[in-house]
Order: sequence, then C-alpha cells, then structure tokens
Amino acid sequence: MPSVTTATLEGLGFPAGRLMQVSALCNLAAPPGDIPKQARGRILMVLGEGWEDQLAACLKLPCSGLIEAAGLSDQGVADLVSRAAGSAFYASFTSHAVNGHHLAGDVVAAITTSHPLSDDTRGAVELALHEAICNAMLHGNLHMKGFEGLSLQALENFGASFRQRLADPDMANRRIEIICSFDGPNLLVDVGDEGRGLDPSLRNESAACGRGFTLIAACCESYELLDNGRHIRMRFPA
Amino acid sequence: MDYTISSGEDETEVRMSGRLTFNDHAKLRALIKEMLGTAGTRQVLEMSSLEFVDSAGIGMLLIAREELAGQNKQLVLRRAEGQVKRVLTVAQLGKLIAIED
Repeated sequence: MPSVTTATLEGLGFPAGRLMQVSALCNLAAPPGDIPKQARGRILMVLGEGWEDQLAACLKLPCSGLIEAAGLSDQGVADLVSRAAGSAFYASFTSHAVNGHHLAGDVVAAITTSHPLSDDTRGAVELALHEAICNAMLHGNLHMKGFEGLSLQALENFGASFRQRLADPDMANRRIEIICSFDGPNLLVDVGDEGRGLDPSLRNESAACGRGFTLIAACCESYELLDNGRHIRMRFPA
Repeated sequence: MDYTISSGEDETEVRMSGRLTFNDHAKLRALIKEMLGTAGTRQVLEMSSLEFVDSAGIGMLLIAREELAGQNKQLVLRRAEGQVKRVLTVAQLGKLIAIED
C-alpha cells in the first residue's frame, strides 16, 4: 500500500496559492496543473469552502486522505499532511464539518478505491467507524451525554444541548482524526478526538443510549481505548 | 432520514427512507408527535427503504415505543433489511419492540 509520501496534494474549494504554499512546506508534488493526471498517484485532498457537494465525485479517484482546512494556517494544514504519512488513509475534520455529513461512508469509499473490501467487511467498517466518529464528536469534542431518558423531552433536551455546544467555536473547531492502516491481513482504523477523555460525569444509565460500543464490538475483530478514551483503535479482517 | 405517513382507523404506517442517525433527533421528535396524533393503535414503521441506522437511531426508536405505549399504541418495525436488520438484531431490539418481516 503506497504511503502518503507518494501522493499529490489537491484542493477542493481551497485556494490554489495556499495549496502551493502547503505543498512547499510538505515537500510534496505540486498541484494538478504541473503533473499529468495519470502520473498523480494517490491524492491527498485539502478541503476548503463548499467541499460538501463536490466530495462524492472526487472519491471515485484513488484518495489517500481528506484534510478539512477550516481554521487552519498553511503550517497547520502542512502538519496534518505530515501526520498522514505512512497511513493507507488519513482524515482530519472539525466537529462542525462532521455534523450532518456521513464521513464514515466517504472514508470507506476512499479506502476501497485502492483496497477492495467484501460487502460484509465494508458494511462493518462503515458502521463501526460511524459510531466511533459520533462518540468522538458528541461525547469527546462536544462533551455531551446521550439521550437522558425515554421521552420526547429527552430528545428536545439533546437537541438544545447539541445546538448550543456546536455554536461554541471552541468546541465546534475541535478535530476528529481518522487513520487507516494495514497490519498484515488486518485493517486498523484509529479515531481520535480533542475532548477531555473518559469522564464519569457523562455516564448515562438511560435505556435510550449506550449501545455504541455494543455495535462497534459486533462489527470489528477487536477494539481498544487509548489516551484515556480520546482514541479508539479498531481491528477488522480485511 | 425522510418519511411519509398514512393513517387509517386501526393502523398508521410510516415509510422511512435514507439514514436514521443522531442528526435526525428533531425530525424524530416531529414524527413521534404526528404518530401520537393519529387514531391507529398499531403504529408501523416501514423500513424497507431505510439504508442505515446507528445506536442513536436505536435509542430514538425506543423513545418512540415508550411515548406511543403511553397512549396505548403499539410500535411495530416492519421489513427492515440489510444493515438495518443486522443492527436491530445485534441490539436485540426484538425483545422490546415487535418486528415483522
């Protein structure tokens, strides 16, 4: 599996001038105007304005990563490009960007352009990754409990709390990082957040929540929590 | 997630489509309120066009069940397929909510 060091940087709604600057900082291949399409290899995509509607078409090409650039300087983007090195796939998104976007589906679509997965494995990875991303966003970055009861009021309270926290720039700009790599025959999927880690105050005994890890466990061969719960590593037979 | 609702004297049917995830909390709240306002004692969620459900979606289905039971209405999940059916099975939702093929 080629690493990101052989990838080309491309921008989606990201200014060309900034992309050149980031490329120079990373010592990576220059943007598409200089390189024939067939020679570009795997593409590491930097997402700027309006990427949401364009992304699906781009994921039909071999893609080694997605970096959502909101709030990042050129050096910040370059640092994330460096973090992508050596992985089969890398993604970094703010919580605000993840909201309302089925990122797990995009990641699985991108992985399968260069490493086909069986339908069962694909479905399992997509669900487990989605649950991990939701945990990272809601309980990690936004520091929220789930539904606190079996009632319409619990749904309403959840919605109000979610809107309030997503409106806080500090919380909304916290990032979720996804790293996919291969360990022999196995696919490793790591998801990390920038929250406080496992917090007993978020413990929720309501019957309406708490099944995320049950679904993750059913989908993957094994998982482990690292960095006090800010990081989950899931293993799938590929 | 999108839905259409049709109600008769004894049964209300809600055809769901798309994905049911935590992002649908406002839509589910509206749907449950609509279902509570119909006459039928059987409230059927027709799921054959639902592509994906997550753990939050399961939680919202349990909330729907609880709210409907409070008005002596029974929630039924019908024709779940693929990923949705697998998730309902893993979550053992059949122990709590009637599931029909």
